[in-house]
Amino acid sequence: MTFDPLVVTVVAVAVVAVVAVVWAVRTFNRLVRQRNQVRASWAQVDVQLKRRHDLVPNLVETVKAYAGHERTTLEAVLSARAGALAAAVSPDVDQRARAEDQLGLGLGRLLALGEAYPNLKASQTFTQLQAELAATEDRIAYARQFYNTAVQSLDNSVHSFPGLLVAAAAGIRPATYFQASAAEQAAVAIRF
Amino acid sequence: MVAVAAVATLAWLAAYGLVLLVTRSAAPVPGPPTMDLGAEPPAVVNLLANRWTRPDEDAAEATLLDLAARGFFAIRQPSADAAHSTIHVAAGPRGDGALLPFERRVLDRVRAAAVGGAVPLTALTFRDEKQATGWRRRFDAEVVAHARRLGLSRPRIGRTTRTVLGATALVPSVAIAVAVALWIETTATAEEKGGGWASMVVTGAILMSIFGYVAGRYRGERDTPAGQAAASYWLGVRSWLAAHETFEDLPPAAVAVWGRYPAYGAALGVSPAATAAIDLGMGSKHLVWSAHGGRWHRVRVRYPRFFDRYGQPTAALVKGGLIRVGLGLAGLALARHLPGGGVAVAAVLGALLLCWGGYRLARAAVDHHTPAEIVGEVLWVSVWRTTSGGEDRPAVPWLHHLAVDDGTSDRTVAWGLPSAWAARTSPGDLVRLRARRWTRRVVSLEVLREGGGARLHRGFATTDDTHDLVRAALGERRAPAAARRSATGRAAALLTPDEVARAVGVPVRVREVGPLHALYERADDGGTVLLVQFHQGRVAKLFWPAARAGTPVVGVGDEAYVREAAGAVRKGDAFLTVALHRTGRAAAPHLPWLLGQAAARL
Repeated sequence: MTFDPLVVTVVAVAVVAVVAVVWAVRTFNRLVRQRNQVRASWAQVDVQLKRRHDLVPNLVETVKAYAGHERTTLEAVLSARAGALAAAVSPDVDQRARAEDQLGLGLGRLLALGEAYPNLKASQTFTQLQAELAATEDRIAYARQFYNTAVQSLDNSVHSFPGLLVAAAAGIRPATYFQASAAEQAAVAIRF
Repeated sequence: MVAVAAVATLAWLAAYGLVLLVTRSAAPVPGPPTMDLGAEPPAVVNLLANRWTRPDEDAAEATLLDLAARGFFAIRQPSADAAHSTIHVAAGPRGDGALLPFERRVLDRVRAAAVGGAVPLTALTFRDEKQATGWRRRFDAEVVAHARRLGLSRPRIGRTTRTVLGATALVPSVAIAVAVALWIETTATAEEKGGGWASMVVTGAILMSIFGYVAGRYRGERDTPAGQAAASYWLGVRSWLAAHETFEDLPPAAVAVWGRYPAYGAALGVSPAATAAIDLGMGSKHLVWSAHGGRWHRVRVRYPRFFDRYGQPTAALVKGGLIRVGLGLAGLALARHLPGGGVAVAAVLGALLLCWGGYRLARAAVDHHTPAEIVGEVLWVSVWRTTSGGEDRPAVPWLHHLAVDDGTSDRTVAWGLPSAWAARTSPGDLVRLRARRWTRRVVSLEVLREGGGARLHRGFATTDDTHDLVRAALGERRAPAAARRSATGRAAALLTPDEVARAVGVPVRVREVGPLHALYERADDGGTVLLVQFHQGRVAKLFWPAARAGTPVVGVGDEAYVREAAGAVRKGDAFLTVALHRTGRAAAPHLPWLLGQAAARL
């Protein structure tokens, strides 16, 4: 039994083409899944950051009741919150990270006032807000970890061969890490 | 009548099947992916994720990771291999009063295994099948009990349904019993008439027991509306974790970075790398962790098996040697009188037997006078050799393997421990033993320090019913008998019916006569075979001098004695006496073994 070489070649090319298409579709789907995961993780970061933003006014009001003349610190926190809210609509992750860092630093200074004002430290509202902020900071830290691992997975796929061919063709780009600044890493005052 | 019995039985089985069908838990609908963890502990989440069947092996491992994440101990990974991870228990006391029972069980296990505050992650395995099974059953029962308290779970077959099933079992039981009686009556001869109706009662009672057992058997859990909502939420968490590809590769030590997430990942089955490195089940007896000498190391244990000299006392070896010498001499003497080629064969055989017997006698003499003394940690204790059982005499172990790490090498060969002493020690104990090298026989054993694991798991029984364990965990009933034994030391709890049955050779049942006496009776005719009396405290001090009569048995309890058909053993301020009666007297040779078993529970 003999085969026509042309038929053999056509069949071989067809098989290779089918395999390539299947591989490309799978790789594309994987990249899309990873990109969606990055977006979902970012959404979680967003939720947790908004939770922190919502805590700030109550915290400022509570501190104001006991240490109203610490105007500079209170205004700095409110200003940092406004900056963080403005950055929240920006797609630039780095800009957002910087704004959140500023807010974190401001909150650190605000909470440090508790040491200087015993009545403030003894306030139940202040203690509750402090605990709630600590829990929120933990959630933000984990949300950031999830986001960064999702970014890493996407990065690995986009930068490794042959996945980068599909990524380039489909226009899928690596995402930006949500970096913790050195100042924020040192801001243990809010983590208690 | 046969048709009626068949229809009644099928109808009952169909009803039971229907109950099982309608009580299946519905598959929860996964909620939206979320990273926010709920309030339920990982082990309960595992139960919900498994559709309320029962917690799987990941539940205990997830609890271990959760405790690490909460700071009760740290998990460190010194190399790339997660299996090399070690647990470091916090030095100072930590407020663990708020721990749930199953969390405390895992923490106690870690603390008991830790030496110098550290234990390899893979050294948490059990070295006794009963301990492993008993520990796991109690852990599962406590998880189920907590899920019920939270309203997330309920028994699959409720009490009312069980009662109805049990009551309706009367119909097929009576129908079958009447059918059997009618069949016997119709086929019986004139003299045998009437026997069928007597057998009807017996058959009916047996069938009721069987149907009742089937109806009352624990069939796991089922969902509740609150449980469905919680399961739906947790499946959302699972979707979230599963979508992060790196999560499935996280090692146990990742709890330092990821907090409680790896624990919930393990409970939900999305952290296979973390659970693969942890094993809270039964360990291998060939590669055992030892902390002897203050350094954790793995010891490869070889268990000698084949040669008949292993475990034999010197007298038996001498007897065997003399027989071989005698046979050899007989062979040589016979060779003189045999014609032709028979001379050479008999001479060669005789010479071989003579040399073999002489060698055996010489080695036995050397072995007897040059015992080795070893101080080390017990790694494993398991049955090695048993007596050959007969039709009405079950096999009884007479020799156990005893693997001991003396700290000189990472390889060791197990010794032969007389079974009467096997109950005196358990893995983890520090012991001093004298043993003969050639026969591997242990001739004396002294426990210098009891291991933590032995104290933690004493009293576990594999026969404990899961349903009872759950009820005990819920506080609805007292702890099962096995767990009570060590606490109260009742006479009936010191020897199991199975152990007595093995000694006397017939099935027995136990009957408590007050807290201090137990009667073991034959299961067939109710004849008493053994009486056990238990005394403790001042009373024991008063009566012990009268009880300590007969031949001393070395190595059982603090002191033990056997007489013709009785024996006594003392441990601390408690002692018990055993007295064989009637057919039970045949078990007299096994009295030391029975005393050894009882002494372990004193």
